[in-house]
Amino acid sequence: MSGERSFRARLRTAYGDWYRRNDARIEEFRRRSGQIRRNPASFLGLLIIAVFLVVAALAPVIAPFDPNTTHLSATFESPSFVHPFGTDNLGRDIFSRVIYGAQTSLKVSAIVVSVSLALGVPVGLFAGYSGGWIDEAVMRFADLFLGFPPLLLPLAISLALGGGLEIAALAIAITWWPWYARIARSQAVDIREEDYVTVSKGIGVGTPRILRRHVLPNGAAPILVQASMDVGYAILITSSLSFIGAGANPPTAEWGLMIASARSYFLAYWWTVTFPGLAIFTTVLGFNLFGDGLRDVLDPKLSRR
Amino acid sequence: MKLRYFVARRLVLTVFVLFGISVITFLLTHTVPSNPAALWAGSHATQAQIDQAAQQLGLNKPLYVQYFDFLMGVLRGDLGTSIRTQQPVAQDIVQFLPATFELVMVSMFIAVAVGIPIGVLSAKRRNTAADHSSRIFAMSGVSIPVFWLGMLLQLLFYSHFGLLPLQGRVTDAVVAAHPLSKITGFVLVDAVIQGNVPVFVDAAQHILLPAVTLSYASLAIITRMTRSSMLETLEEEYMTVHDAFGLSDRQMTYKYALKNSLNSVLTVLGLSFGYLLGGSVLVESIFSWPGLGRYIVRSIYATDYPAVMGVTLVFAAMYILINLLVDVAYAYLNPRIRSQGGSA
Repeated sequence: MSGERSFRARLRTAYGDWYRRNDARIEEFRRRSGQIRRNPASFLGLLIIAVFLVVAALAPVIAPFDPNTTHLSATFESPSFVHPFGTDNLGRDIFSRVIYGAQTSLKVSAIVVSVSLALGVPVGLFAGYSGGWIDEAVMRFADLFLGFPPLLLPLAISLALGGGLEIAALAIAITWWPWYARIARSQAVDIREEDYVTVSKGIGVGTPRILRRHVLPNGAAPILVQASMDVGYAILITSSLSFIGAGANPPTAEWGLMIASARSYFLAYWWTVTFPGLAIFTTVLGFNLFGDGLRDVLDPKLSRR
Repeated sequence: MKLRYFVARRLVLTVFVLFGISVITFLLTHTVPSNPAALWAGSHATQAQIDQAAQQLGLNKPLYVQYFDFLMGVLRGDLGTSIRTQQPVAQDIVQFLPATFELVMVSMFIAVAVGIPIGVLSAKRRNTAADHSSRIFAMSGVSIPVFWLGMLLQLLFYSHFGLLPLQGRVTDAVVAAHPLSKITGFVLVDAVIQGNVPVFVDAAQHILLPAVTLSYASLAIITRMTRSSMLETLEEEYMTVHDAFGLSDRQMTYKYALKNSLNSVLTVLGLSFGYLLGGSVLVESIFSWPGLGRYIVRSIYATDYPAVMGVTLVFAAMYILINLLVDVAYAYLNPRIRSQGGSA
């Protein structure tokens, strides 16, 4: 009892200062996260994302079978207690493959979103802050990538670079960064006119520092909203690329690829496509619901009500 | 800014974008694949044969000369020769385009005809059960993998209920019994022109599942946009004024609110068209629809770069031109936008 109290006391002395200094921020965070939790739709999204992350992290623990071990004596078994999602043409446990598929999806969405952010945000901030012909030239270049219908450019790039899961993710990022550049630019255009930027410029602060310390933090909200939704879309597009044969290679446990390999026999064995597809649908929906709620909280102006 | 200046600026930007995508497509075709000449010459070619192929394809010329040749070819309608079909890519595209166009148009019709009424209803009954269900419906549309939706519909309506055909565009036996001559290349339109009822019914049954599958994402976008823009319009002061004048609810909704909301719905039509073109790649290959989408997937499996890039270029050009039309129509309807000059 007394040991616990002294531990708490030590915690208070160690972090009490931090709490006091960041009181306003913590309060703000509490208020906003409360808003997300109170909205049933975004809370559901949050829940789905949490399950997805836990499943991806603990895949080896949760999965009852190895995702790639074949059992030729147990092919096309319908869902049962042993195989909740049934088995495929090689007798692999679909439940375990769906669970490992969460890891694959997490990996590709991390690549797609971080690369598009890393390319798009600095370019957009710089263009918007500079204005004039630099802005025009950079943004018209970015527009080139938006001239292709969705799916087609990533498809062509992934194919040209030789395919594979990581290449597909990279190809998607190469076609998505202009969206981030657009958002970051429009934020920079607004923030450029703020007094604190004018003052910083006046006292001789350099452009990179102004962009990093003032423009980016104040313009981050819509970028974060877009990124949270794009995690879901990244999973959707990667699975589509894998489905047409420009993404993951067999025998990777990837949801789109699992559906593609089941194409020749799915009419007789419905479970071979139903569960991997359900996994994609639920995960993407989760990120969309959460992103929608996040927009309402972070950026009421953009909220579509 | 006058409308014609706006259109002129948009045209210049469009030409620039078209030029840019031709550069991107060219770089992807001509430089990135490990060795197009080796691919062209086949798997058991000797070095001499590969060199000859390189000579024939112009791969030994400097890059900018190759691009110039490529661009001149494209302007003449020459997109190269397909490795898989051994036919000019342009000829293949002309052959497969009508099927894709027919599918996309029917899907667009479904998306608009269903999406706008749902959006209106959702806005009018804001925060009711009907509104919540329509929002979930719309959110699902952009989250569902289109290839999975198509396969589920096949399981349900072909395998389980036996109501609709599995795949294809028409049943060969029906066309054999009731010959249909090719006029427009669109089976549905041709059947109507020739009064060929059996073929029309058969083709309509075939197009139903792929068109519904393909339209869902666009339907979702249109529903969302209609809802949010209706909500905005309904709050305008002039709506209160109309209400004070004692206009009926119906008149207010359809004559005033919807009309003013459709402007912004127009802007997402271009985007939806892109979704339809991109989605056709997936939907056509599931439903064995004999269009460009299935053509491009088959070309992918055969590592047929000229065919893939040719279709990509044509799809991109169609998408850009549709967006140009949408922007011009929008500027025509909404003079405020002209002053902003518009972006590409």
